[in-house]
Amino acid sequence: MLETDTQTDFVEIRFEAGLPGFPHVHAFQLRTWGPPGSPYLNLRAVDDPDVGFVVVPPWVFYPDYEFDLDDATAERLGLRVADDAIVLAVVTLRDRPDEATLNLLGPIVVNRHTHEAAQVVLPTTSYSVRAPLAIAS
Amino acid sequence: MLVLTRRANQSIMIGHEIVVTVLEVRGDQVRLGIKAPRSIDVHREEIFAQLQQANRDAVRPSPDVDDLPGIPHRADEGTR
Repeated sequence: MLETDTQTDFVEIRFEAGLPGFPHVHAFQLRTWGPPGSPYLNLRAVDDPDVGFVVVPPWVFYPDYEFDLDDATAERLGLRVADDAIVLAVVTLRDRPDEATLNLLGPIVVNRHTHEAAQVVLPTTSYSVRAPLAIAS
Repeated sequence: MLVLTRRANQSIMIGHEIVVTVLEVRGDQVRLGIKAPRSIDVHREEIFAQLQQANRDAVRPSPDVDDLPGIPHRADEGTR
């Protein structure tokens, strides 16, 4: 999905505005993670070992997921067409795998060319911050 | 907290670039217009707070692969 440097197994992405709840963390490493063939990725703050997330393309679990990106965010991230963007949703792991949830209200959008990223707030949708993940297992 | 009284169609300025205008007052609802540079995010507070909490709940510095839910099987992906 992202072209990684041949010397490394990750790409560095940058949230200029930080993440809600973590406004001071900007640089993250994004790497594929999990068992072989896993769609999950690990998003880890470069400068803060306590900040890391599991993320996944939302369409793996919600094939019909869609949203309109606001113009201001698209411009800020330098996105001209939808294909410029990689969209990821934050997974919240809980005690049991089947209790895990997906944040569909605040997707992460990454410019695949510049690696500029933002977590978007979708104000006018009915998507949940805690959408169930164990829908088909 | 600074408290100002404004009527419909009156505004306040925050810094040099942010203008908040009261568009309409009807019952217990107020419609606001916000003009801000594109670098400034504007959110409804309760939605933003929800997202902050969701991110804090989601933090896993060293996640365990065993906690991952299974991936839905799709017919068009074939078998492995």
